[in-house]
Amino acid sequence: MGIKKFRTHYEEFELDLTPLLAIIMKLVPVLVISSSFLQLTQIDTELPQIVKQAIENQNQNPDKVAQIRLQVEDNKSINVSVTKAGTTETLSIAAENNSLNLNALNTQLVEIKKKNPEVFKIELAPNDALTYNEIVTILDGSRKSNSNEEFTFVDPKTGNEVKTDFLFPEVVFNNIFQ
Amino acid sequence: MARRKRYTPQVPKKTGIMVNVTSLTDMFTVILVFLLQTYNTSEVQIEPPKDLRVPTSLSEGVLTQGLEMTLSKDSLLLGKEVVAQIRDGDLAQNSKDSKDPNFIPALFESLEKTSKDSTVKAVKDGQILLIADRELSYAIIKKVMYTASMAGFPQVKLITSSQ
Repeated sequence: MGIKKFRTHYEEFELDLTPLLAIIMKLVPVLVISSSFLQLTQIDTELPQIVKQAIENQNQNPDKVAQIRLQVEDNKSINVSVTKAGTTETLSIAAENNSLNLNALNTQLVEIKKKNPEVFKIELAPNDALTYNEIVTILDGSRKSNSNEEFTFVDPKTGNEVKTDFLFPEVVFNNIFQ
Repeated sequence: MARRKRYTPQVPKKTGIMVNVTSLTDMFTVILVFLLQTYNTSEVQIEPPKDLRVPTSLSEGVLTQGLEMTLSKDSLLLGKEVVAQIRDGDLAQNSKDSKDPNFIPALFESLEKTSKDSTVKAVKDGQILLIADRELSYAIIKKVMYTASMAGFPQVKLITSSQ
């Protein structure tokens, strides 16, 4: 007859975390020193190849595509002018509570983009009093639509229809030499 | 009659102090994950001055190489060198050119010298990384861009912080 062995205590599996802790203790100071808590980006970024080609095409044939110009006035109103085939259409976006009406600008730029999907470049002429922060918000608003809408344009190289979410990613400050 | 000895159970004596490091490991794991997320892998490291607040942007562009130009509320720096002073949001009178108010002679000279001496391709190609305070006016930024274009630096990349 076998003797039944009674369990006198609960057996626990003890994991030795000391080496892991030692590694983490060495990693943490290294990462604290090399971490950047302010994530910096730059606005002039690399664009998809097809969009780049379309911009190059626009630069080579400036008369064939529409020229879009944004002019920011003293009272924070924005004049948007589109010149195509010798005719210029201008519309004004009034300021909202004495600040730039960026939503209206974005909506207007989406409408212009729908009519001119092959255009990716705009000219910006800010007023001297405009702050750098306001200029950056205009650049953000003219880069992509607020509703993440996509636009179809014809790739000048292949002739195929291509979709893109870019509005006007290339911005030229055209009053630098004025 | 002899007094009965009180019963005491046999408890094995511990030879060392056992510290429970599980909670400490948990804490360090959380810190490690956070630090790995904020770890910057960009080849270009920019440290704006403490009193300078760059604008926030939706752009997600990774920093590329170029000549660092810092425009704070009180000075214009090219790398670490101060090239012009700023007073009340505009260039100090002695930093301006008497004939052309948009021209900054000291910046022009520094840029020309840097372009000649530098071996970095991006600098030779005329790329500038502009780190400017968000509250500065376009008037002063225009002057910097104007002078940079004249000195052969037409590509100005605006440095912003991500939202």
